[in-house]
Amino acid sequence: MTAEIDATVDCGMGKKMDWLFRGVWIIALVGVFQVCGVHAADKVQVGETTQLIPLVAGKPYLHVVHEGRSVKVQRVQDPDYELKGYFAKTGRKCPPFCIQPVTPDSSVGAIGEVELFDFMENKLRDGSGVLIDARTESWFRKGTIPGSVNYPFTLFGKGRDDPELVAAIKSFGAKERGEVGATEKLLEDWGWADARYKTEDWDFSMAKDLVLWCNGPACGQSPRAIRGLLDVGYPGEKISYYRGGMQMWQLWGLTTVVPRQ
Amino acid sequence: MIHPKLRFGRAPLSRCFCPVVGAVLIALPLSVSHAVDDPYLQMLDEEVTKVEGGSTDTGKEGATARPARTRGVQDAQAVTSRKSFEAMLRQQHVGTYSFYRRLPERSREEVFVDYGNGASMESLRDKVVDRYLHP
Repeated sequence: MTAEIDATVDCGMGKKMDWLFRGVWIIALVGVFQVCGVHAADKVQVGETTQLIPLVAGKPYLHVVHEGRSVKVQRVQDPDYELKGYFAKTGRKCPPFCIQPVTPDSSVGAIGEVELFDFMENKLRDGSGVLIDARTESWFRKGTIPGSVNYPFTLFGKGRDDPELVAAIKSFGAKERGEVGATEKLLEDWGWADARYKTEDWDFSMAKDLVLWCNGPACGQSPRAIRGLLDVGYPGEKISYYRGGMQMWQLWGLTTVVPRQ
Repeated sequence: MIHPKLRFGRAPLSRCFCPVVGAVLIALPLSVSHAVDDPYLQMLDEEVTKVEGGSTDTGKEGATARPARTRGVQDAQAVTSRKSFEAMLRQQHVGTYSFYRRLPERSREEVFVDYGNGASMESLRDKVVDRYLHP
């Protein structure tokens, strides 16, 4: 009887031990799989991050409309890529190709690539902004930043009544004022009517935000264009200067396009 | 007999013509040569010959925003970009985003593809509202 009881007790203990061993094995196996899984995930992550060179953190690329088609703006995905050619040069004859100040006028803000991406994604897309390649046409033809339209700086140096200049200013959303009534002028002079964005000839209230750029920090073409716009009365706060220009754009390996037209 | 008015009119006309024609003749070559002789423009023209033209646009990926379900780096990019697109919507177009997040997956994807194709915010907003009202 005792032996039977002992046998059953022994048998029960044996079963418990067996389950315990199985449990240990299962836990060990799960642990091993988890470790492997973590390593696998790490490897995938590392692989992806090394392959992907984004525009900025969390934004691998963006799309911009250029000449009616969508262009993907991204960086060259080769970590060994080196800039070669004209825009890799560090020195040019000065004058005229001298290093420019950070902004051509205190009323105009200077922006970098990140702000330009934001401009492309929002104001350019919404039509409330214009990205202006202010270089002469021959430069524009060699390649430009996607989404840019070419308004050579020479245009903004023309007389205020020049039809081409007038057409350009109108295309930026400004309105010609024509004859301003005596009462309206008086109200504006007294500050009772909003004249913040108005000159004698132009109403810039609905004018678009402009970003002008040229060949880079040693290029004087867009600063000249900006000064020309300011002379016409275009509000400085509606103008931004991308000083990095084509040189910095290419240095970051960003997409460029050759105009079709 | 010549009418006195005519005689009176002819004299200043002939007097006026000479200086005007002269001025035009002098100004014409000046204005034409202005662009050519502007040293800055000339140097720019010389400089541009040193530039190797070219595009780094692949030209084929612009309109593609592949579904987020499949694997691969490009898809990972698409997902991230869609995430950034949604983050942008959430931050800057709260109203549109509130409709967008209620859309079924296929409609969201459609909106994102349109975004990738360069559609304006206005048309995206219209599409979101349309898909919401007519699922």
